[in-house]
Amino acid sequence: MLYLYETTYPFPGMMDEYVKVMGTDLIPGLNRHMTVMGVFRIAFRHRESFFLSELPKGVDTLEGLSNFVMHERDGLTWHRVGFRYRDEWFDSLLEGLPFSPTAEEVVRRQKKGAFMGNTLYYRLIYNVLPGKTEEFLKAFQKELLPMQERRGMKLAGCYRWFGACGESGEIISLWSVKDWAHWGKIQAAQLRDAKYRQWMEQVSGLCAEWSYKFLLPVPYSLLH
Amino acid sequence: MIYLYDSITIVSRFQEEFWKVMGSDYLPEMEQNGMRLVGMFMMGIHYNENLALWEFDDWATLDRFQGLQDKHPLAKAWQREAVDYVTDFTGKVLQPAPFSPTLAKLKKGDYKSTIYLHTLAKVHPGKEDEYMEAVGKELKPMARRWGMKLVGCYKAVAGTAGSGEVINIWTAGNIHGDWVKIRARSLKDPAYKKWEAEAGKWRPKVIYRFLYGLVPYSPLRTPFLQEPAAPEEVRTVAMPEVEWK
Repeated sequence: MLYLYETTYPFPGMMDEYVKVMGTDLIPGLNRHMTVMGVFRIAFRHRESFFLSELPKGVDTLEGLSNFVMHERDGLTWHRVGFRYRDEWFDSLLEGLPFSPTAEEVVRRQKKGAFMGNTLYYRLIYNVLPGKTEEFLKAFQKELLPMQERRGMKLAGCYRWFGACGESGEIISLWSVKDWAHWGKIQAAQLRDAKYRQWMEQVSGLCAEWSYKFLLPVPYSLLH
Repeated sequence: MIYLYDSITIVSRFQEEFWKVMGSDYLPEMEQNGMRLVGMFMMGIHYNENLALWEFDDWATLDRFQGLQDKHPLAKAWQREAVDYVTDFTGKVLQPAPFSPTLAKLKKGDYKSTIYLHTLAKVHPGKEDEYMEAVGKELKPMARRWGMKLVGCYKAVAGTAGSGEVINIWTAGNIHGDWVKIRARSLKDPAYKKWEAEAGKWRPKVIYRFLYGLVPYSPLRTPFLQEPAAPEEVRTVAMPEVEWK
């Protein structure tokens, strides 16, 4: 499955209005073409927001999106109105890894209580060394994933570069976290866990670096 | 041959107007002064970034270019006009690999494409030539099998750049579906797996972008656009004569 990963930069002071207007004026139209999985503000950042959408028809969905902004009334309007709120945006095309949940799976798991009532999502981006991607992904799935899910984090997505903006060896993971208190408990548990320390040693040999951001889902986000 | 790589930050709502006025009000003076446009692209997908790639014969051309920018009334007029469209720009001067096609070769051959893949490899300092040689010997023939043609392979030698920047530009299909096929072929190719493992010794990281060739007067552009109109014709479209009554 393919995903559109979009970072936008609203003007200072515009964030609240921007996410509100998007919820009413943009998202319904976008959802005719793709499944908007997440709309987030970035924690401790006043002018950055992040969107994650699933492209049900792969790259053909992109042609539908072009049609949306060029020919469909709400898309055309948003194309003009959106410039009032933000001046820059980056998009990447990502490929979901085999163990990454699709939108359908997220909805199914929401019925059992996952991806519900979270105030935080943790986006961790690994830059894997050349030629080490397969080894890294095996270790991620076999070792990190069960360890973190036991601590109450749920993997909401795991992706690699497919097209447009991106970097070699980039693996993007997205995890649900209940709130900051939960994050504090996870940190404390990791410090005590010998298996986690082993994972950190292993991952240090496979990655050049990693970086993270914390995301705050907006009320209408599917991942919330 | 030498290349100027101009990364332009634009006001995104004026993108198409910017392309028009650049074609009518800037391009002719540049070309008369020895700067030949290789490609003008929309960066994909970063909506307010454009890339202009220029070719010129020697370093002395850059002196003429600087003189033109500093003194020529038309260049000065363009700088004032561009304020409406451009918020920032940075330039790198690039030196091509020996196997990198010139503009003349690009014009003669079939290098038109809607999507180009732009890669910026961060090569260990001092290893640029070795890496470029490997690109020519190993990656170029491999990519050809997947359906990609090398449009340019360059290293940054002046301007605003970091150490060890090697930039490659490849054709990458006319619709996104073509890219899906190219990528699938590359991932199945055992030679590419070997290349990726070996290339780590030269560069730890590659930054990817798409370039969209949507500008009518750009020599590198989508085959879906017709041949560009003559500059005078473009000027008439972009800046109609106004009759004062």
